[in-house]
Amino acid sequence: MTTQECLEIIASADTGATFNDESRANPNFLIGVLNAGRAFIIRERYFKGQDIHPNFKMLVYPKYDALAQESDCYTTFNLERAIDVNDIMDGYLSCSPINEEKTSFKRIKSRQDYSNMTKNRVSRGLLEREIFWFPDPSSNRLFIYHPASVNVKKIKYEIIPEEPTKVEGFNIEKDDYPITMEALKRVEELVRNGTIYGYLKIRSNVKSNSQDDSQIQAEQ
Amino acid sequence: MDNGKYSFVSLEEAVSSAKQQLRIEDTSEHDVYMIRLANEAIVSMIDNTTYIKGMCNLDIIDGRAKLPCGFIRLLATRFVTNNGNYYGNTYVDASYLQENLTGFASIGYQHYSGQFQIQNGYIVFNDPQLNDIAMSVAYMGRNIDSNGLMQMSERQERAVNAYICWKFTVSYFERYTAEIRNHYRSEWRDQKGFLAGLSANERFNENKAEIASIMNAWITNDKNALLRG
Repeated sequence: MTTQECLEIIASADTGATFNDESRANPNFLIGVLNAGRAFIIRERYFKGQDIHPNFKMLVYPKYDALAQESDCYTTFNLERAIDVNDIMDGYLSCSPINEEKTSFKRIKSRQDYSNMTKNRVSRGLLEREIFWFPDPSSNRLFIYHPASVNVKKIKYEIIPEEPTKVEGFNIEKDDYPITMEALKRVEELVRNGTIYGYLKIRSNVKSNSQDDSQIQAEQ
Repeated sequence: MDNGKYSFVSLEEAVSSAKQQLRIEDTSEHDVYMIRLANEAIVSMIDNTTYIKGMCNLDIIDGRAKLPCGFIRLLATRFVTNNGNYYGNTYVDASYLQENLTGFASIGYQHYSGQFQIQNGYIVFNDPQLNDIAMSVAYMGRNIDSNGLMQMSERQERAVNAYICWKFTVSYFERYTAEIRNHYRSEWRDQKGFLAGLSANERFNENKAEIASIMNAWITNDKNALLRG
């Protein structure tokens, strides 16, 4: 289902008194509702299990930028932010060369994890010979650590993004929004019962003056 | 039958099975931890298949040569020219061979301590000026792959898999019940015991002829004939 269709379903949903006319017509507001609801549902649904439905996942093909490179031992790319799934895994799922037959890279969780790895002979040996990926949301960069003799320019990574519509190359009008039908119904439910009302208050920066002409006043 | 004894596979195979068993195959977050666990498991196994006899050429730089990864004990060494020809004496670990090889004293090889010492992962030559030559080394070592990780035989895969799952579920104890953790621990202990038994049985079979000849000598001895009355 395209993003546009998902937004129409949310906009026409019975949301009680949570939405007003202006917010229903505001695509940015609706995308915010959809993203927040989707993240909430994934956390709720996969709190105890890890079999993520493929509809929630997205493949990202970051572009190699020669000017952004800093060191011989790693290559950096732009990073899209991913959601938190549960205590066993986050939304950064896998990273590999674009060629399908190549196996995926091993993961470094954090800078401290990298430091720990250098202190153990097994992981140190792996670091010297294999390719690792380190998604670092604090700098919005994806670091690919590799032996100096290896070139890593064409990669793809699979994530469960926080804001799918902002992922590089995503077309709101044509591309399918990463959600299941069942989850979309649950977003409506969450809006109606007020569970994600907090998000909505933050996202909304306009209010209705309740006049028939629906004139919008910006909040001061 | 020696099912899986001589067929070696990477530890990643056990990691892959464990990830599927724990249903975390979607993520690469725990791969390194699991490989460390697999290596830990295989190192703790008492099985002849974890050892190999290896051979390699080492470059000597400033009187030192780095020993290969997984090295345990030196068997024999000789110098090698750039053309690959051997020359000079053969140096061996004489004290070890004297203890373990009948009739070693008559072979006439030289103990290595007259030429070099083995220290902290290096062969250190008594002559620190030694350069630009190589040494061929035969050694007993761990059965490792190109990454320096232990390799396992197929029959050890289930035990290593159970060890990874056990340790992983202990790490995330709040997520896995005690029953699940104990299930994996039991499987690991059972498999490890089974492999140790198999290994002991194989060692017995390898030495069976020798044991039989000793027993025959004892039975046919005249003194024992007297005892039998």
